[in-house]
Amino acid sequence: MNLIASVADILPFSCEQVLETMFFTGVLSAEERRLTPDSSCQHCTVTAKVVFNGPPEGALEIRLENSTAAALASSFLGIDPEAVTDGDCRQVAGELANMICGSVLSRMAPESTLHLESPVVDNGSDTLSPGGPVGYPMAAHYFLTLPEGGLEVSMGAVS
Amino acid sequence: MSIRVLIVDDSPAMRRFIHRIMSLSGLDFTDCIEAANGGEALERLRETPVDIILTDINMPEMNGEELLETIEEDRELRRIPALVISTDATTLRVKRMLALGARGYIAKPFSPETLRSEVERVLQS
Repeated sequence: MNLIASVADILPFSCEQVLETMFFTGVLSAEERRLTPDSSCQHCTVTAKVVFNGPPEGALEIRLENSTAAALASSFLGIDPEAVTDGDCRQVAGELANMICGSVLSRMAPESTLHLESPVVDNGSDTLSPGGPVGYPMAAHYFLTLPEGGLEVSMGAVS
Repeated sequence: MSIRVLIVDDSPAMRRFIHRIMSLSGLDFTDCIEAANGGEALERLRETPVDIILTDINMPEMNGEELLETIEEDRELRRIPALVISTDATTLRVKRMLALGARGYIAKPFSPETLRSEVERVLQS
């Protein structure tokens, strides 16, 4: 199966499954976008990236606003939104990226031997690399609308 | 039977999630002990008896595979059932962990009901 077509098909499904199952929320809409330097979320302040080795090898990156990250952290951890800390948001963003990445790869390459590195979470990144998560050709880029706000997901990979 | 659970995961958020799900599971649940890697898990196991181990695979210092290998070599610890909880649901990984002695394998994402029923199944087996 073509790698890019495969990721593009699987990525939104995996996002929806992770969000519904473990964050108790849903995806209102999923729009595949061609990524350009000015197309990414203008207010995103939490970025989480997971690098994986296989084959395939590549990286998955998510971006979301602080308020969205806080709402998802509240759902995931079962705590009041007012009690969510920046640390909670970072941890939960990292875990969200990790689960989406693992879900995609387990479907895309079920017979492979994979290794996912620990998520790297950053604040304040303004734009995603237009070429995909640094160093890998872009395989898919989606903008998801959740009840809590926007979530951008990009995956770059090579066979 | 009142159960005590050891949660082994390098993600504090995931440990909190599992702890919460176990608390709400309806099982006769005593408490959760937490560890961030396999080495810490072995320390906890030597300090406090537990009824079941829920462990991740990818962790720094000592990963889940190494933890299960060490447990299998220990006469006392190998009596404690272990369930693997991981984002990696590839066939080879699942087979490998079951061969190392894991009593079950839960792929993330998982529902609270899946965790509850798997814990219950393993404890009754």
